[in-house]
Amino acid sequence: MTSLDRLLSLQDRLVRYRISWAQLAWFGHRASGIGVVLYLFVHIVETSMVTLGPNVYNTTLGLFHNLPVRLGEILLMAALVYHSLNGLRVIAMDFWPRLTIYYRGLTYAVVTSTVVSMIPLALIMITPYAPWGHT
Amino acid sequence: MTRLRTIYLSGKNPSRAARVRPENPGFERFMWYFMRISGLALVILALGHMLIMHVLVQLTGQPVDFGFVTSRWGNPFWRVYDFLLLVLALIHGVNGTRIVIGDFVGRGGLRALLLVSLGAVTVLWLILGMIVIIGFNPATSPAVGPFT
Amino acid sequence: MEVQLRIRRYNPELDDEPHWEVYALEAEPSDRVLDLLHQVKWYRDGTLTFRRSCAHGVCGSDAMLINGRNRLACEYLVKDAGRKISVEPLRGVPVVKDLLVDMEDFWAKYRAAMPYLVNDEIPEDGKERRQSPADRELYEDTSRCILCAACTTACPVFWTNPDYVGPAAIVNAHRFIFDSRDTAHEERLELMADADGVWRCRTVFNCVEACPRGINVTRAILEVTQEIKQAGRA
Repeated sequence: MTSLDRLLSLQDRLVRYRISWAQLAWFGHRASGIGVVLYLFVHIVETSMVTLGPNVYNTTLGLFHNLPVRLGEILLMAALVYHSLNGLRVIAMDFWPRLTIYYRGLTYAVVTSTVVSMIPLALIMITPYAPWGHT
Repeated sequence: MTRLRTIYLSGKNPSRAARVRPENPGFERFMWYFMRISGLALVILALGHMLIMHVLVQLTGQPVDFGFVTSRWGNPFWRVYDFLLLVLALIHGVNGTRIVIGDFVGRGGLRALLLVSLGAVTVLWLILGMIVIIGFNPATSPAVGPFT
Repeated sequence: MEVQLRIRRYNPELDDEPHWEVYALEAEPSDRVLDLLHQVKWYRDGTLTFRRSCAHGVCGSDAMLINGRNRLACEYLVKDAGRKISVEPLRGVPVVKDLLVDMEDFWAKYRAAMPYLVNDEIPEDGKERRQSPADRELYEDTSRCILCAACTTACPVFWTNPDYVGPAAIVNAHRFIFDSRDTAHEERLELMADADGVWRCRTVFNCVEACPRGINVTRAILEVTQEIKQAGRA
């Protein structure tokens, strides 16, 4: 068996059904939703530290002030924006089943608007860690 | 056991099969509406929260710290806002997780265990979050804590 | 043109696991994938097992996973499939042998939708039950179903949760729910309003992309859901 054959057989095992954009959109909705829920549980604990006074709270927040966390927060923002837009698409089709005719176009619109709106948001959020952001 | 599953297993036509009560009548329908209505509210609440905390704060150069929270929760509007956000986001997210578990984990002990743990954790976190948002009072919170 | 046909084969008496077998075949661009399967079965290896009856896209027997998507072997042409064609049995249902799958569970779910006209009343003129063209139009799309199982076995929710009644059963429930002559409307809605019924649809649209009859399956599911909401069913 050549390495190419081995690679092909691996691909056979992984991709048994061709992925369409709509299926990818569903998978993305799920993944972003689970991601946001996990963050939410951490965020509630983090915020509850505020009842322990300024020192505890400010120290806790300090743990989150670094580049990896900031990148995670940008990812969180992207997950929320995507989950919101795709959720609106699903709700629209639920209440007007006729819209399912345009499901491909609606899916492309959701993906495109997520990417476009994330460009300025990511640039603003990365500012404190970017070369142009030191004030 | 859902009613449909009882019918597949009986091998009879549903009009002849024994009529069974559906599992949790009305629950899935209620949750279906809840997910969509809370989803619409969260588009505004959650995205608004993220925009304030990560974008507007950045643009105006305010630091997010204890003082920020004190002044913010001094205004009842933000307390109500955050309370709604907490309750809707947590239930929306946990119900989404319940749906994912239902889609991926077959009926049986593991599914029951996962759902019960999910429910228990949710109740704890919901109570914690509510206590913090409703009960927070900067005057009574200690000035020094274990990290000083 | 020469094509390379890869078939996922499995003989329960000899194999522990399914495996791929590759056949180099001479084919015309206008040949159907079914013709290639016949070529293998008739001239190369008579043990190749698959279902087909009419071979003209009407009976729905030869739905299989061709080039990564559920299609009818008798409708998919070599010129559209390309030179490398892979054929697998439908996913999410037990494989009996090669491309032959066990459809018992699929039929049990189909039966759960009560796919027959229920009406014990005597028609007004004693002969026929009349229906306006507008009423007929309501279920025109879903009446085209040929029960090939391409939609149900393309559904990611069905793959991971076989208790889900599946798109095909809901399509057939829709066909009678929206038939003005039927009297079991409520009963069918009650059946489909189940945690394993319409509430498990996640609008993934794999069913729509797979349906060889071009039925808008997701729309049918959402219309049944809407009917359930309006009827105030659980």
